[in-house]
Amino acid sequence: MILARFDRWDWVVSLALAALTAVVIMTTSPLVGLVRDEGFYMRAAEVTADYIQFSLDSIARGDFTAPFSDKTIRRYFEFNSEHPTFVKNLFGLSYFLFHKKWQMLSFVNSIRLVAVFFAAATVFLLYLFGRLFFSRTVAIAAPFFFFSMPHIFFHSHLACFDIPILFFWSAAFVFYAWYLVSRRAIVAVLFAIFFGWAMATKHNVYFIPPLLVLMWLISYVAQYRYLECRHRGFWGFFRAVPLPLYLIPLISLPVFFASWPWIWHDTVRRLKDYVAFHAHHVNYTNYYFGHELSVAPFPFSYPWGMTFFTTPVPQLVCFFAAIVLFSWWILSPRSGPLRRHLGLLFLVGALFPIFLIALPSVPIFGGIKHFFTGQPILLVAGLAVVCEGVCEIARGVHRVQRAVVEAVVIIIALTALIVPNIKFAQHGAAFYNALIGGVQGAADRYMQRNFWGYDILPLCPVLNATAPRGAKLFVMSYYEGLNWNSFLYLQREGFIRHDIRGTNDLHEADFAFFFYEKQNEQILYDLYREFGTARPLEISETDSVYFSVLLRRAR
Amino acid sequence: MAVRASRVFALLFIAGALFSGVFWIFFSDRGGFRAEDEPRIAEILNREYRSGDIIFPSPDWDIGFTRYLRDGITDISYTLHAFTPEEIGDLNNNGVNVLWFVTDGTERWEGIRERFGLREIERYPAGRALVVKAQSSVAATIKLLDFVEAIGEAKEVYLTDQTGAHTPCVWEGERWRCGRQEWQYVGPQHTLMAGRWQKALWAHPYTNKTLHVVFENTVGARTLVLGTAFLERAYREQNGHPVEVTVAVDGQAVLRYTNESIKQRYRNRVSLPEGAHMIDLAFWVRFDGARHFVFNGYLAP
Repeated sequence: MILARFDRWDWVVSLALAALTAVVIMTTSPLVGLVRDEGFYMRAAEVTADYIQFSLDSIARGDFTAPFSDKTIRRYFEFNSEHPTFVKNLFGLSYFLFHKKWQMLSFVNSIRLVAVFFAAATVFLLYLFGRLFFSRTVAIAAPFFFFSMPHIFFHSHLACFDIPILFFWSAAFVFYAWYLVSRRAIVAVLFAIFFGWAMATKHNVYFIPPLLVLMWLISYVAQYRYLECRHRGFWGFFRAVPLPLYLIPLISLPVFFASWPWIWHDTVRRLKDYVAFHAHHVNYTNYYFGHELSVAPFPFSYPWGMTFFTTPVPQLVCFFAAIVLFSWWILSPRSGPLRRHLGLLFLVGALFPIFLIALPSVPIFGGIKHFFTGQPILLVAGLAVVCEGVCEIARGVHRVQRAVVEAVVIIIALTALIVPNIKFAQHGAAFYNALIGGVQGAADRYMQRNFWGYDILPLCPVLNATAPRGAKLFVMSYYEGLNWNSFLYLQREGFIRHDIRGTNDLHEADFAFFFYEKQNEQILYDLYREFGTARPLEISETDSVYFSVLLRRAR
Repeated sequence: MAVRASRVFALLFIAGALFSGVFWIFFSDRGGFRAEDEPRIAEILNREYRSGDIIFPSPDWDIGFTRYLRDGITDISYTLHAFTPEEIGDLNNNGVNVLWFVTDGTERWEGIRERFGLREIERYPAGRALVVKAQSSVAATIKLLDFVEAIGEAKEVYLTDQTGAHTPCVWEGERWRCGRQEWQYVGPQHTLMAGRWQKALWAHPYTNKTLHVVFENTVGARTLVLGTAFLERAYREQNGHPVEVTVAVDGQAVLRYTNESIKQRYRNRVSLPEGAHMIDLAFWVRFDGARHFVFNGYLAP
């Protein structure tokens, strides 16, 4: 397999696409409400910014040890210590620089800037993968198709770990594959550094080293008789191990350790707590074809079905095409050992995140964001198959005309994605594709309709215009509603009037947000009864399906 | 990769894009209530709805008509799909006067009527939508005493501990107060029992204590129907404990079961012995963390 050259034009185009994506996401950020997790991570950003300030002050005083003492680390990193801090450190740094110091961005946007950065990095990765392994057309088209998936576009705005870990997961496989083909040491080092940051972002990636080792072993054993002599025997085995696998303990682990101050002290106990938290993670209720998934075991089909019905149809075709392509690489008699290895690598990289969540014993703690990490691989490879197919169909025509046909098909497909993206710009997590009948079809089948109390921005103007001064607002924060911190930040950003007071006590509320999740209907009945009315002041909906409502106590 | 396969995927991709585009432009908002029908639906309900009625919208995801409802209309259930015909019958036997069905057309209404064996009382067209007043056709049960309605007339509500010490609950006008904390009471509420909207009595049990709700059978009942369930918050608790339910008549247990910490409404019907006098509904739990527990039921001939 020969990699295409990534030339100067590729740098220009990929960086331009990344910049364009960053601008679009930053511009549309005010459309997306603060999700529950952002309430925690934005708080973590504030604490981290305090740590940066403290460190700068200490160093200015000549005290170089204070920022690293256990007391300081406890003070600034105990909050939300169930997650490593690489991305949270970036949130804090961005907030510290762009909001506190330079006042260039609002509080929320200064933190979400990190999400924007990772979205842009993902564009670059998509381009890189497309260009190196397939074609420039694929490389250019892939970012457009990727970010016109409403779930992806939605999550790209959020100051959370999901797009960063999507980037790192896919980058790990792409860089590893790049190394296998090119055998360049610099690529192995890049892989190792990225993998260290990935570990310090989210635990999803801990499965990658065993998977890489296993796949390499399969490949090694399968092609043993064709190996060069220096790769045979006891010492040859160790010479044959790819360099990135050696660099994981040598580079990735130190990068991970350096990125997470919380584990600098009392390392073993704190790592144990971290593992225990995720090994015994609670399940968050999900509705799936009318079944309430709240207690394990969950159906094996859940993440496969959700992927199938939440991916727009053109991209879904690409996913299947990619699976066929990788399978072809593995099984084709014309494939060499390297291509077989790459086929297996990409297939596992793309599908393992879904497979893992499909295991009945694995907790389900959220929506598709937990298993969409391999989608960049699927999309790029699938798009390559589609582009190749289009060229085959237009085989008889001139090369230039063939390129035009290819471009027309891509533009038509992207045009078809405009309407759903506009419809779901504010409710991306609620998107279901045409195969299930859109959001109405999903609601008819009692699929999970939305998640965790972010969908209030359409309600806020009505609340602000209606509520008397000092009114009390039920924010439903104790359940799957609006995170209390998010409520405070929404006030801080001016989305909710400053004099409106939040409460979790229905009995003292004058107004109430209700965030629809099937299992929370009880709260809606309580609200109706308590307020003496079922008449909403405002409804947030798409295609007549409601997601959240604003209610006012009857006078 | 085989040329033919890539061509197939190219064609599928083009077809998928066209299908997707047409769907999202023309068909994605095809269902639900038409905006112009929504005020008409509300006008009918505002005029005809009486306290004690219950409204079932179908489809249950389009609540646009509620924008026009008058104050005081609060009993709307979005869980029709989860009911069985018997449970719909129970609603009529549990203090609900009339069932209102708000549907997006005749076809959907006919499906509902057939599924639940409903008796149509009157229908009110509202543009393409249809509002129907109906009742269950399940034979009406003669209820001699409804636990929810008659909770104020309970003979006694009290707690006992392992030593047998007796702590009475105090009637406060609408509920029996059993302790200082907000949840420590027995009283009526409208709630979801296993996903079904119900009138029920909140009866949160207490760690290693038995909560007794005692009714005097002054009505000569020979049958007891009891429904129990955990609320959503409770059965989602990972390590929630089950509740032991015992029904005793004049000191003799006639029903005993374990209400597991799951999403299920336990419904039992038991015959009462001749001359049954004191009926003691008892609830015990090992640990009361998040044990949001409710019951309802009645005495019948």
